[in-house]
Amino acid sequence: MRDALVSGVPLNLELDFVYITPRLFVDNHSLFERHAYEIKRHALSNRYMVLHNHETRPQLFATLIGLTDHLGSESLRLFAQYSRLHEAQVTTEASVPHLRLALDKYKLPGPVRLGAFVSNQWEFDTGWITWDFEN
Amino acid sequence: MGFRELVKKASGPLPVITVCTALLFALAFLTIQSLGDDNAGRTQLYVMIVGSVGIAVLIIFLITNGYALYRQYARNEIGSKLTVKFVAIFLCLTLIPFSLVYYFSIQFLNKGVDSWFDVRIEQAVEDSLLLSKTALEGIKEEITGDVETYASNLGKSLGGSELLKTLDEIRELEDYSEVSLYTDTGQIIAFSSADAETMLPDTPGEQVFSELRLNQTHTLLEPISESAQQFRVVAPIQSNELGRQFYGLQVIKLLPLRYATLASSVEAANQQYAEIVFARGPLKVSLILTLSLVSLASLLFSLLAAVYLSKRLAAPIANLAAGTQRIAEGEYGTILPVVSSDELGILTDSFNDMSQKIHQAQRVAAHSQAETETQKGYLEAVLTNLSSGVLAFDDEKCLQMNNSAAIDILGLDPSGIVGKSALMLAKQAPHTKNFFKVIDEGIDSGQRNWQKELTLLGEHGRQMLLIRGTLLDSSTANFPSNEDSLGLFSTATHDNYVIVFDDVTGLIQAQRDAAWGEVARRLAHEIKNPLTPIQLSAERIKQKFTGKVGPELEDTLERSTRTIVQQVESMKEMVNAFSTYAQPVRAQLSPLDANQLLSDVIELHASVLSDIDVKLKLDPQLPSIKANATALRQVINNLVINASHALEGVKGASLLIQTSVANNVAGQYIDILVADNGPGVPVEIRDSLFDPYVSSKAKGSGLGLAIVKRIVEEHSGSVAARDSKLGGCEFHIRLPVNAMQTYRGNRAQNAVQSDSTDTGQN
Repeated sequence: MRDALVSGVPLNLELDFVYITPRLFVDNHSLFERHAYEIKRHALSNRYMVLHNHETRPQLFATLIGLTDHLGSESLRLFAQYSRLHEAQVTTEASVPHLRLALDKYKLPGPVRLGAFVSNQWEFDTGWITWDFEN
Repeated sequence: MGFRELVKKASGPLPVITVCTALLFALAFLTIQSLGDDNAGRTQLYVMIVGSVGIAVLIIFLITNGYALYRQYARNEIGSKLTVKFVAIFLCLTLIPFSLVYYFSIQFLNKGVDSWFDVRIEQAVEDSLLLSKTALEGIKEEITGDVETYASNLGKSLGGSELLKTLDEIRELEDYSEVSLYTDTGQIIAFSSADAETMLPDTPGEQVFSELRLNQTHTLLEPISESAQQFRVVAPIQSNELGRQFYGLQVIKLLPLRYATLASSVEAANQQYAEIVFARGPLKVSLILTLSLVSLASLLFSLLAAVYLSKRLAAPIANLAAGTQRIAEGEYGTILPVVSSDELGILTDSFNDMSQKIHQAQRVAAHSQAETETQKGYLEAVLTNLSSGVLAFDDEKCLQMNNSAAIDILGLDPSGIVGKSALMLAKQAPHTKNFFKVIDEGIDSGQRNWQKELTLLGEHGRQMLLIRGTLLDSSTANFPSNEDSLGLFSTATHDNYVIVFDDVTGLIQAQRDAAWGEVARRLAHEIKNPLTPIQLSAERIKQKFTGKVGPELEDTLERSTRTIVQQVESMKEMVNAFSTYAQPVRAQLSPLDANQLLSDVIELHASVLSDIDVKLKLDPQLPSIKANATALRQVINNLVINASHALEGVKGASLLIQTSVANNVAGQYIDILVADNGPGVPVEIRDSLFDPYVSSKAKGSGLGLAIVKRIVEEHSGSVAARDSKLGGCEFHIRLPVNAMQTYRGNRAQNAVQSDSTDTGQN
């Protein structure tokens, strides 16, 4: 993935905020918010760009670390914001807010897609993560 | 519908063609998607899954069809071998061009994809990017120099009241989109924007202030949209104020449209080319994978088509073969469906016509066979119930058939006699040697009809046989065989001989008995009646003249009358004996212990046999027989008396009386043997020993053995005389345990049986 990004291949990430309610066999996922991020490298400025929800003006980062730090802090911020925002809408006490950041393989370039579906090198998924701010 | 039928229907041509068509479309779409770069990624995944499932279904179809064909081949089903041959041919025709096309397609694909990434193109893209960077670098240096100059100038007039105005003048003079001044903590001191609606400046990030602290100017080309870029230049202004390290002058200048458009174009082209270069490997893999899937689908489709076409081509031929086999197995009248109008259809039509004709012919033949079977059954019934013996010989004098009467009369072992020659049959049963010799001579004589009489001395005693032979032409010879008694008649193509013979012993004996009976009756009537008056007259003469004549005459009278009386008595005895012989035994049969009877008779004659060494060898296992005890006692009496007479004057006289059990095919018998070491029977009377008035004794009546024979035969038995191992004569009596056990043709014995049916015999 890193090589692809450095080579100029844009990557699309999805940030999902859901409430998960445990059930007998399959947990219920109630999707509340979704953010899309497009990451790509700007060759003329030699910077990494992040486009949030198809905004026209990107954010620029000199390094990938800076970019990932930004995504992490942004995710945490959104989780805290949405947890407070949607708390009133959740009626079940068992429902727990979760956040996941994952690569959207379907938006990869056509030739890369088939390989991405079967290769572990294209696996980028944080899984469902939750934080307990009170504790 | 069962699972097997469901699978069979699902594996039919229509579902397979549908799956293959859908699969080919899906794979074509997959190929387009692999080359394209649109946003239909999810559809591409679904299509790939559908394609894989389709190929899996095709493989399952192929496996099920192949397995079904293998099972048919293993079971040697009709048409399977031909189908396999067709499949093999189609396979060869498909695989060779397919392999060539696939190989060259892979080669072309590799070369083709590589050709897209020409070194010159890559160099041109890189050069264009470098050129753009160089051009922008010049602009950036120019702007940076200007901003640093303005920053230096501003540093001298920071404390003045004309700062905002100065910023406006700089912005307007240099056509900047925004000019702003910040403290070292990032606070805005003043800013000037070309956009009047802008309330706040575009503040630089913390990273920029870090550079300013190092007294470095920050310059950066920033993309602000897909087709617009701006330069952000932030220059430090050294401060002499206490507690303030520096100020920062930020200038934002939009890249001119002409440059911006070119820069965006170069950036986009570079990005696309970079993507393609990165996707070079995956693209080749995707295309090869797609090509392989398409090829595999095509190959599977070809194989399935080969199987279906082979089955379709072989089906009419297999039907014909199956129909032929059914006819060969006797299932005539088989009609095959005519499914086409080509040569195979004409052949099937001809086959149906032939099958119908064979069926009609078979029905006619079956009808004829049924009639023949009926006639054969009738003939067999006649032969079986015929009292005459019937033998059929072929031209090599081998026995072809016989009836049961022939076996009974000749006393043959019925097993395995059919097919044997007359000579072999004679060796098998020596007592029939003369019989088969007569047949042999009769056949050799070549006469169409011949007749002979023969006397056999067999197990049943002396038998008189009347033999008639007939030559049958090959055209009329048609006999059932004993070996195939329920099958078709064996139609002979050569001459056959039919021998019919009757045991006339009983008949002759009956005639003889009738003659003797008539003689006895006449003797009793003509001779016995006058004897009493003669005797009475003689006694009256003697009584009347006794004492009235002289002594000499009286002596003569006495001797004469005594002689007359004695002779009359003798004649009476003779007539009585004759009468006894002639009178048939109306026996009331009852269980009899033969051993006990023999012991009683020997005991009765103990005084007569006092000088003879009598040996009794009586079988303790001897079963009881059904017999007339009085008649049998007379038989034993006669034989013992005969023996005692024969042993008179014989030194070391010995008499052996022996009993034993005898079994043969006709049933169970007992044997009674009376043997002595006397002088034996003269040769000249041996053949007529049991005839009346045949005797070797001077005083014998000649009726004793005749009575023995008559009584024994009337008990369904037989008696024979032969030389004894003791040196004299031996009489062998064989009596059935059950009097019903009789050999055929003995009419006298049948009469005895008829009389005894009310005694509960079987």
